[in-house]
Amino acid sequence: MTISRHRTIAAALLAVLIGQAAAPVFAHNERIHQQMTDYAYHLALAMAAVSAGDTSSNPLVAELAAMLNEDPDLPSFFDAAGLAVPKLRALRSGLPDDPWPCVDPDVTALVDDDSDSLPDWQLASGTLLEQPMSGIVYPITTRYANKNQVCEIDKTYTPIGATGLVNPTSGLTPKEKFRSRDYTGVTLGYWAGGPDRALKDWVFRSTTMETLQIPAVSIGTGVGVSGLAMAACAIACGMMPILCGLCPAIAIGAGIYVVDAINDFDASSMEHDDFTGLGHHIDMKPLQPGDSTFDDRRGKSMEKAGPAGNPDLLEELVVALYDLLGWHVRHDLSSGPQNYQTAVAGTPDDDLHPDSVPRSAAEWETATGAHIDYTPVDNLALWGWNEFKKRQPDADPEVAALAAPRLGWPLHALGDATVPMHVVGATGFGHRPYEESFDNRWEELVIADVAKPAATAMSARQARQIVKRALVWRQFILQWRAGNGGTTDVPIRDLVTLLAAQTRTDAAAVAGVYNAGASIEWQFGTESTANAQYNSTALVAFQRDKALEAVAASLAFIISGMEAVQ
Amino acid sequence: MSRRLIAALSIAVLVGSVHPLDAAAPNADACVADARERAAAAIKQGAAPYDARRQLEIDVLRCQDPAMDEATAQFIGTINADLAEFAQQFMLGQIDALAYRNARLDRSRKLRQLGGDRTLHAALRRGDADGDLIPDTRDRCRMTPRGTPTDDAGRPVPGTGRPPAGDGVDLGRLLRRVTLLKNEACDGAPEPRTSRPFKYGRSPTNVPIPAGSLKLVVAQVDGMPAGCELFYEFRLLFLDPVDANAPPTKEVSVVFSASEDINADPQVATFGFPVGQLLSPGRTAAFDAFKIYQRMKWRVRTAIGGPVTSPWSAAMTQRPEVGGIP
Repeated sequence: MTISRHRTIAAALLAVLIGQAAAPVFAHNERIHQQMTDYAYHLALAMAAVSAGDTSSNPLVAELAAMLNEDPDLPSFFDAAGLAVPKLRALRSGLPDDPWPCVDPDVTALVDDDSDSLPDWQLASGTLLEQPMSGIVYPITTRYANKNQVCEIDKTYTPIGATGLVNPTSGLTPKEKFRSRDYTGVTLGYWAGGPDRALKDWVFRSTTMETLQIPAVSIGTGVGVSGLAMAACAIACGMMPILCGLCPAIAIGAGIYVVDAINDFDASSMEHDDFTGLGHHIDMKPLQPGDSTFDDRRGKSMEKAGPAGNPDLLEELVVALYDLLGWHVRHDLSSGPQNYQTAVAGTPDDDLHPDSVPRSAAEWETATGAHIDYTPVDNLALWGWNEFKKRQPDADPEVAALAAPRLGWPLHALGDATVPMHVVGATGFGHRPYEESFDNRWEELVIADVAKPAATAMSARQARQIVKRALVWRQFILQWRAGNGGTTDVPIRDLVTLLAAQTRTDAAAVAGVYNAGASIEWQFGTESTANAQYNSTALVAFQRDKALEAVAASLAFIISGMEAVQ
Repeated sequence: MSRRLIAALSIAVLVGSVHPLDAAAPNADACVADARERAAAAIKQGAAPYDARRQLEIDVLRCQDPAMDEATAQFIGTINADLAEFAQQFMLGQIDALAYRNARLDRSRKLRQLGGDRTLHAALRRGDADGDLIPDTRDRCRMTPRGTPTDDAGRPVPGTGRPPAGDGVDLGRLLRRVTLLKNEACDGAPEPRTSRPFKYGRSPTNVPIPAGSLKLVVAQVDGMPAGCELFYEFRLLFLDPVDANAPPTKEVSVVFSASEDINADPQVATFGFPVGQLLSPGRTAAFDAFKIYQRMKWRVRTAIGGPVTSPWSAAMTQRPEVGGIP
């Protein structure tokens, strides 16, 4: 029997000096995907209210009603929203039970009826999984049933900005009020974060995880510890915390132990947050002569990463890590190659978008993961969309007919298509600092807090702006349908691709969006210093523009998508 | 198992196909594991790292695809080993980023464009003096320096790569902020025993750490060889926040060296989070959480400066010690 046949504990001590907090290279913030979706849903609610004749009950509907004459397609768009909302609310939630108790007494007070610290979901019948979205009475967080051992219900939830006006609370007690809101958008947003939780999408093995230990360089060390400093190990650990488990090491810095975790590691079958994002890119650069690709737009290709196809230093280090450790995709265990290589031509799901050129297991596995093209994120969107449309047996409720979970995949792809680094296949070029600064100022970008004077009016105007943008995407969908026999389908791959193209064009026009130095600073220096490089007025404006565009595209998609639902 | 892992971690590589692979290997994982095991044995016999890595890569390819032609496996395996070697040289600063990029792009190109050329693969087995993946029978330049890009006739060509994009960030400066150390004194040490949580709370006095500091008290573990320092890793789940705006729970991991034990009692080890001192990110997070949360569910395990840990202790849920911990 050999070591690698087992899950081994490659325990090590993570060494990160004060001031550095290492984090995954490919991390994403599920919260933002959830919020983008929830915002879009609330705008659909507002449009539905206007369509139903409410044009003045609050500033939001008044603002939206005032735009109806701006474009002849707007009234029908609003009517479509009116039809979409009940369909969205009727979708099965797909939520698994979460058996963990609510340890926060404030949450317990809002959700627990029988003093067992568990949320009482008020189910009239059936399971939570089968419950329609309209029956979901609590706002769950992205950590629900996933990453935490407590119930994950957001006691502080409020809809974004003025949209709270179309989803008010009712009832007398706090518990009644908490249960009275429509949490369809929150739940759908939870599923929009789903692709980030799909750890099985890309599973890797390491040919030689022990490589990090050679060669070691002897150095003088402190009392009690003789030592070897391993540069490669330091780089690896700093870039991907999963790799710290490879380093049989301890750390001393300026007399202070700064080790904060000991990791477990299995080199034969590696699933990790670091890898899920590999299928979340779509490279919109024009192909160069001699480029081979397996889709009309390739996904992430480390060798061609970046706005000009010239990878930055961080990407170069990622490539080196993959090669050094011999990291190969495990075709047999990875869902990504199976799910995201598309083959729909000639089927009822044919969207007239070019299919993937299928690759064999050997083509996925022979080279290390640094030298292959991953599937593009529009394919991820299509997979989710087609899974959603399937009429599957109720025996598998999570993907049963008209269950919400897979609808999250196209929504996630739309969000990613508005991130400039995702549309040039870049891990570096400021990827994490950009996203982190974006996440940090999300509430500011979308005017989430309407407590300040005039904020409600500003938020309503922003809503109008988003609906106007959404109309453009809606018109694109309608034109595509008109050209394809009047189908009610949605060309999700085209939608994602166009959105990504727009993002790339816009990013190229703003100096400082692509910032290789910020990525290196973020990985090996100070996060706040790195993030601060996205604080300029122009870059904040760019981020706001992308936030609104993501919500707009999501809004057009959920409204149009429900037209495919009978 | 952990002991065997240590052995496996001591650079597993094998020279030559002294143990031919079973072409009908029913399980690729087992096949790869066997290849690693042979590699471990070979390295103990003094195999050169590159040669051993190359053979391991070849063996693994044939584990994945038993039908792969042996010459082709050697061609691709050599490329993968070359890429690993170039990567290592780059990470250790032995070659710069441009030289690295040119070298790896050369191997990538050859994999892509020559990966299906079985005639070339077979010819390589008869000789490739400079290791540029162009067989001597085709090589117009048989002394190409290692890593230099070549054309298909083996002639050196300018690299196609441009320097990495960016503004010349001082990577070395940043990397110097990260230090990793291995304790060789722990080689051969037994697996440390499991500790267990006793209590936690504030320090009521200023000795040995300031009043108000946080203390964790656990069962002390000993028995390590001289010089093999022991570490305690804690998983702390803070519960019941007093601040209504705080998340309902907060989970933090922290690690202490045994040498940081501030208690002379041989039965217990006490670790402090001193007020007013700069703490690591994990310790800072733990101390901050301690101030906000009323209870803590925690467990501990021990580790030494190698890949060896004890099992986790049972978890214990407690409130801070009333009156503090002297």
